[in-house]
Amino acid sequence: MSGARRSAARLRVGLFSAAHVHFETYAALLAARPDVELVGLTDSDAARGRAAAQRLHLPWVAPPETLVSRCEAAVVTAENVHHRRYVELAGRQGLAILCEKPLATTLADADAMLEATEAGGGQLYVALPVRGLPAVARLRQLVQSGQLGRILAMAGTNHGQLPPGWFLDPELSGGGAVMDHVSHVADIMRWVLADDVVRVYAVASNRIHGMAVEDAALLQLAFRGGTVATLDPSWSRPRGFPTWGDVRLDVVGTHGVAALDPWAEQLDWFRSRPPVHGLAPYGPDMDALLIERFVAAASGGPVAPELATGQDGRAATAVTLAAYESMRLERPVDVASI
Amino acid sequence: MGTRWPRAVSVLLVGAGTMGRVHGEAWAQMQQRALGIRVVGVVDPDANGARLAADLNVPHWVAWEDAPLSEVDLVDVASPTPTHAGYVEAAAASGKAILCEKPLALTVEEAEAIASAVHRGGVRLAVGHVVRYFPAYRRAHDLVVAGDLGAVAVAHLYRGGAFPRGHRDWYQDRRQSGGPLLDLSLHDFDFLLWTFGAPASVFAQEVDVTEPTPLAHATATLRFPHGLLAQVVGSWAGTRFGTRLELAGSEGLLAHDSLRDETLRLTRRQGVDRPADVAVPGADPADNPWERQLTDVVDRLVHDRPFEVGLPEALAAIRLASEARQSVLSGGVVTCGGPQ
Repeated sequence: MSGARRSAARLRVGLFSAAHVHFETYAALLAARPDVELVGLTDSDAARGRAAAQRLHLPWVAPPETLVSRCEAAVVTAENVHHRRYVELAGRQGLAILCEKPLATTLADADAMLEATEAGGGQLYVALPVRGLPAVARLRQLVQSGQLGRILAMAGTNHGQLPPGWFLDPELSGGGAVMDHVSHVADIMRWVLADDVVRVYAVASNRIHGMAVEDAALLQLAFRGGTVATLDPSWSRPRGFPTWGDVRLDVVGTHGVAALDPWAEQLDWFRSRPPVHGLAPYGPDMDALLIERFVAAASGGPVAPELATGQDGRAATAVTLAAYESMRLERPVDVASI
Repeated sequence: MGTRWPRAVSVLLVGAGTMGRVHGEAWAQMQQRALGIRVVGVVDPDANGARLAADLNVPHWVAWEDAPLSEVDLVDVASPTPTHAGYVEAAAASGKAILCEKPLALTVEEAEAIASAVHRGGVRLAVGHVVRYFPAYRRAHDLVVAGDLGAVAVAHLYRGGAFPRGHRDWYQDRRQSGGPLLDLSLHDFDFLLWTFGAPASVFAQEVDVTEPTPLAHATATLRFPHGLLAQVVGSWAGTRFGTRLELAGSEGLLAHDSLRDETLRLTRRQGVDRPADVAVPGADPADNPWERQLTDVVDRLVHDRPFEVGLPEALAAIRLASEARQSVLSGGVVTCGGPQ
């Protein structure tokens, strides 16, 4: 009976789709937790899902409805356009959900997900883990306490290398570098400033890799309070770049400037054999922090403010979609018009 | 090193502020190295002129009219921007070759008036877009032109530092300085024009405050006809002066940060002596970009070859800065090369 009690105390988590590169990261972090029971994996692509379940020693559960009925919490790492089907299903059953970013590829999808979760009495969080890093918390504190004065401008980047597979298929991803990367920086800008983006101008091209989706883009944002910002979400880091990419945020205030480089904590690491130059990171693991906070919230514990909510995910999606609208119209657009 | 040019070239320096001193010291270096340069003297209505003239061991004239123009081959106008037109037009009317510090003028109209005066005088004019003589920018330009980056897709150009404190705070008056888009980003607009040709459109935002201290920060996004996207940021809301360049292309990525790529970093102890009033990037005295620029100007003058930056290049850069400013004021995208 003690075994059953222990089992009952563990949060029953289901994994919905192995599509996203973060699926394995989250699965490994969850599997390592004594307070989590991984109930199983479902996937719209049965071959992919079965293979992943076998690799990670997870039960394969073909119908998503069955998996939902066995879980208290859901982690959704599907292709972007499939987020809605899993979140609606889990939300209506009152599960606590962690959905990979971007929350959705249309605002109609985002709103349907929020409504389903609310109707079912569940909780919806979005995997926007950058805001959970200690350096971002310190930056937020600097800004919110007024130590930087009035914030005039910000410059953000989320560069990356060319991602694989369905990320390059607009039918599944909803778009390229803008869809993939704008959410992270838009979210930390909103979080740090405690303000919303009201206007977006964006330009883009597919000049780097020549794929069906954009790989290069530049955004200019205007916040309600008058702060202006730039954002580069491009997949512009070549194969020779020492890391996956970056997230940077420079903040210019009337009383000072701050430069955020959350992954600055890396040792330069030179070796005698290939790869001859690498990096040895020694900073905090943002994915582990995200999973920790999600499990706490889903288990009925306190909801950390660093956990981005469905509304935060919707706001980041609105900025992303405003960027696409601006690219289409070739002029700045109001976020409220999206 | 012997005389570089067939005969000595006599230079009259106009302006003894921050840039006047930078130019004056570079000319003096060249004179000392017996390159065939002679500094005739310094014209500046202010007492600063006497200080710089004494340091260079040359005469100082308060009034332009008092300078011995008959002895002068080249007039180097390094005075505050609003005074450029007057000095350039006077020098042109006297038939002198001219080097004018950037920006040539505050508006497109003023630049065009200067161009007319230069044509009327039948003289030659070079403009001090010195960034073309900074080795990092030259190397980046050459790598792009050689195709080493493939198709360049995204360019970032940042230039910023503390708000400049010029004579009687002339930088604070937009009508005198043109703000950061004209005064700072002009260099980066010129780099883009030089390296990639003319853009198709520009969208820009700018924030200016006067309290608690004057600050200005501008961002411009440019689209080029062949597909390049460029982000230009000019900031008088930073702290230490620095410039950054990043070019991402189909074949690679190039990044430069002036504060990282320093061969020697000097940090003055605060409160012991006054820091420079207007930030000027540090440079190796043995390979000083201003001296490179001045040498190149004299070379091209003496050998009657086109200047690296003459009227067409200066006009194009001012036009682009002005289009960016129009976008700030209108809130919309401005098509480049349209009617002003």
